[in-house]
Amino acid sequence: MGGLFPFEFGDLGVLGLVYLTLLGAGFSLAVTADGWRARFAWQAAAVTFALAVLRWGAGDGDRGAWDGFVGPGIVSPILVWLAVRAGDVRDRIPALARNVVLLVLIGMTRDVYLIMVLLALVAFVETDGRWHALLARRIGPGLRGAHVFALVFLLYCTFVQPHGIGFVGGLFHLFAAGFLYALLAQGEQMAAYVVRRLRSAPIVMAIILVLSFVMMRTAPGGPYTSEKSGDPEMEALREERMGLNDPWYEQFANYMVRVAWSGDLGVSFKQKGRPVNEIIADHIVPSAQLALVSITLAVLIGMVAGIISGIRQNSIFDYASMSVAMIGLALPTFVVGPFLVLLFAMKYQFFRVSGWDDIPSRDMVLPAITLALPFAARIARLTRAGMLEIVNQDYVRTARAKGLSETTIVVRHTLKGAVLPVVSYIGPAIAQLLTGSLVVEKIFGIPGLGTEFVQGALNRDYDVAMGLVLLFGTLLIVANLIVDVVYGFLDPRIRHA
Amino acid sequence: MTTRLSLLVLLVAFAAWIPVLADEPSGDGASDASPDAWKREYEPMDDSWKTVKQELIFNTGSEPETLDPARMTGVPEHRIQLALTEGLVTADPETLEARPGVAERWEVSDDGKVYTFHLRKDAKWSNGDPLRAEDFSWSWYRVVTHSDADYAFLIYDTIEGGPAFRKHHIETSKSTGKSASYEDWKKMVKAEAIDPHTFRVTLINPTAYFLDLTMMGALQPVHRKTVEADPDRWTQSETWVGNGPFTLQEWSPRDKIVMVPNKHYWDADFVKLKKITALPLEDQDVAYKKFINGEVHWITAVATAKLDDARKRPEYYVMPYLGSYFYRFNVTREHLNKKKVRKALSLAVNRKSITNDVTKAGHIPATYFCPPIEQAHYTPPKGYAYDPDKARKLFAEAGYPGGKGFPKLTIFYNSNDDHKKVAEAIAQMWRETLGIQVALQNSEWKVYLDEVDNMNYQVARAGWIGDFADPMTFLDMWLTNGGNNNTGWSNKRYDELIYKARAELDMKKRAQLLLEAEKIVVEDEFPILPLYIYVNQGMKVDGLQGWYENVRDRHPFQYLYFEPEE
Repeated sequence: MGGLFPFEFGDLGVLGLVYLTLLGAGFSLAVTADGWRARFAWQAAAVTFALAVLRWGAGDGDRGAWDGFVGPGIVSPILVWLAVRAGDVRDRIPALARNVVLLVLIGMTRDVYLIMVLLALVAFVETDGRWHALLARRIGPGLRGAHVFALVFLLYCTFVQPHGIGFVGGLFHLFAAGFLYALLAQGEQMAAYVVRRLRSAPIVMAIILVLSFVMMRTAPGGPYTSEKSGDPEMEALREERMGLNDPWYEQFANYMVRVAWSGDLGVSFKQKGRPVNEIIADHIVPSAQLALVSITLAVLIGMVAGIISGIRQNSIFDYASMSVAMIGLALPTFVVGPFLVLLFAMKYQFFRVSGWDDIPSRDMVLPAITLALPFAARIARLTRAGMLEIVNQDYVRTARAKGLSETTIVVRHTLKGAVLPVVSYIGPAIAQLLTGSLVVEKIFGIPGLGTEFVQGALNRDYDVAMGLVLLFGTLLIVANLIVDVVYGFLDPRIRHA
Repeated sequence: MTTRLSLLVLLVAFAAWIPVLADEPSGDGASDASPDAWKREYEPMDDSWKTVKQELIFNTGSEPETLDPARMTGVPEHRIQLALTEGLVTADPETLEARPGVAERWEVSDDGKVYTFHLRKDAKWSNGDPLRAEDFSWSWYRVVTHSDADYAFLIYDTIEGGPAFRKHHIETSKSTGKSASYEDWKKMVKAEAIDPHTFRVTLINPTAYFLDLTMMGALQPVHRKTVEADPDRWTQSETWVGNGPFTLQEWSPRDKIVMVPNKHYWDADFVKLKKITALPLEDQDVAYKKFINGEVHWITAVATAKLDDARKRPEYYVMPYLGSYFYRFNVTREHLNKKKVRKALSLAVNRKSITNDVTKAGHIPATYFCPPIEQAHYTPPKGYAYDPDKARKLFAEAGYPGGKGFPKLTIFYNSNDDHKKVAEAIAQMWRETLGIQVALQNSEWKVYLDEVDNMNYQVARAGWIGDFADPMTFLDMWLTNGGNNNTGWSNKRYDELIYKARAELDMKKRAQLLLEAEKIVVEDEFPILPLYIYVNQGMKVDGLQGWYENVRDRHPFQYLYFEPEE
């Protein structure tokens, strides 16, 4: 079955213990439950029950169906009983129903670790974050140790554990890790804020998915439409086998269940027989490498130029760098790229014209610069604007009046303000870099995701296009969420809003 | 190929009766003075090539859809297939004649329907397993029952018992959800493994191009055990087993495909390249720059913008290709259903001006649909040359003097700069010559295909690349209700001629029948407006030897090698 995620229900092992410990925490809360605590107990019950059913269904692994069912199958009724004891049953039913749907979708990924994370998140949302706040108060100073442990554990899962799942699973875990850490490190206010942000994510995702699915399926032509149409009866046979003859809503339901059940995003029609999971896993690596290098480059160049311009307003440097920034913004990559190639690969042969071998290598230089330029320009302008705004604030003037050195003023007082707009820009920028580097991929022959996405849509390669919508949608939402969280760290006003 | 065929017909008049009994039949498929005489031409003159690095890097132009020969449809895949698998016969790198492949010789019965292939005893798979006649039988069965093999029709429409098996397969699939069995295939279809080294194929019609078909991807043998172990993914480099001169070392999608010599290949000593790297670069501009920079040795296309520059270089090559660019008329639409209107529209187009001033890519202006095909003795009809006066006259006769009363005509094409330029030029010619209003409309590829298929157009741009070197791959398209007809045009006489040609054994007579048929299309009825014949153009480094120009753009890798630069 495999799928995107590293763990299967087949082997719970140490993780199973951790999971049960977590449930234990749920117990202790549920026993003294009232109101939101009962909600948490309900959720824990729902998750455990879903787990039980799923493990029953996943009985094709090393363990028998019954083996898989026993543990959670026993635990969940106990939890239900506790929950019933703790609160009013009727109040809980809508929330329960809603979350069962959610759980069916995400829980079926058969990834115990992810289930844990999701369990924590669901409980978190359902209790408006109070669960965590309570935990934080009770455990007190010990929490810091817990933070470190959680972080190490998550990083371990991200980089060491994902045997065979490659980058995608790793990224998922990294996001989850960063997110959880951010939550743990902040207090109740922050938690409530994140919950607010989080609630809209599934809805946004659902809308994206349904819309793209319907648009894909209703667009004229299909994966097998070609210049040379073949034997109609054999074609019909093929479409029947591929399930293309069912009504679109049935196909959508099948698709969602399959994706949710096994994390299997399907198979490409065009790249015959190639699994979409593999396409993503293979091609996200160059995309991510390129995105990472480019954004680092863009931030470095942009911030430095922006800060200097901001401090030395109206100086020659200011004018020069801002003019360059304007040009950087105005020049499209399909002009900059070929120009760099012409200059540095053809006239002066420092680099190859195209290729992507044994990264990190020289092959990375030109595409990274090409991709970074417009972002660097934008960051420079944002930083400069931020600096100018802060420099004229009273507290900066006070600092100056106190006779602080210019360096101290910049580093201590103005930088944080200047960074804010940049931070809010980086999230979407990273998402954009991961998804929208089609042109650069073409110019430099990079086997990235952008090409797959566009080709997927053009070829009516339904599963490829949908898989990438799913991925890009998640990346965008998560990137924005992270930015919001980081923003919350940097600017307390946001949290209170 | 066909010269050989007619020779064979005489030579082996009786051989077809005895191949099972005779130990070593005398009728020999490669019965020249010495069996390998032709091959000596392709040997290097001396040993100087051994001093050069024999590593080829070329651009195949796009990411292969698959390396599974059964499922291949496109040119980039078939190009790589030449390195990875070998069929019953192979193509001569220069003349494209049939040369021994897995079959060291073959016989054809005098009615042209029974082909007996004698497989070489040392034929092996790249894992060392022996290759048997049964492998072909199973591979072809697999293609026909594979749910995603576009060229299955080449097998079931050609081989005796094929149509019946196809029907049986469809019924079985519908009732049980499973493919028809291999046992049934062996019972029903006349593609028989007589013994491990004899494979006999009986055809429905004396198909002149059958040997050509056996060179195609769909008819290549695959290693049964490997395929059955992982039907979808066996083409990965880790599991790949083939029988070609090269074997798959690495396939990194959208990055590169690396192939190295197959040491179990029966003619491994002849193979000179040590490594082949195929790049899937779609951007022709990038590929061109890479070539100029010396990063690749061979590119299979040249960006239109770079043509002027390319033509000045000695590495540039251009050759006619087995493809035709044309416009379809929807003859079911009012006004366009008049023969004279279509003829006038055709006569009003100056094709030379289009290839010289508009596409500027060396295309061959054509007033015929099927390009000349030497192997099939086929020279297309002349058609009608550009004649604006006659066009005007015809248009007036049809009831639209000076274009009066003729509604606005819309040219439909798939979004692409080159197609747009051609459409604009033709619209201008029609406006000026016939005085009618012409509009352009374009859509994205799949939408365009769908609209044309539903005949939701008036005039639509089209292109057609032949599947094999025979006029049939072009002309059977216009049969009544043909799957790719899409013009609504139908002509009894035309259908008759095509069916007659299918059964005709004499190649010259056959060519005559086909010519007569095409005349109906391009000289009388005009359901289409032919524009030009495609060309293949590319760049290859001087040092690359064993590479010859041919209409199929087919360059078997076992002949290629590098010579020291002078």
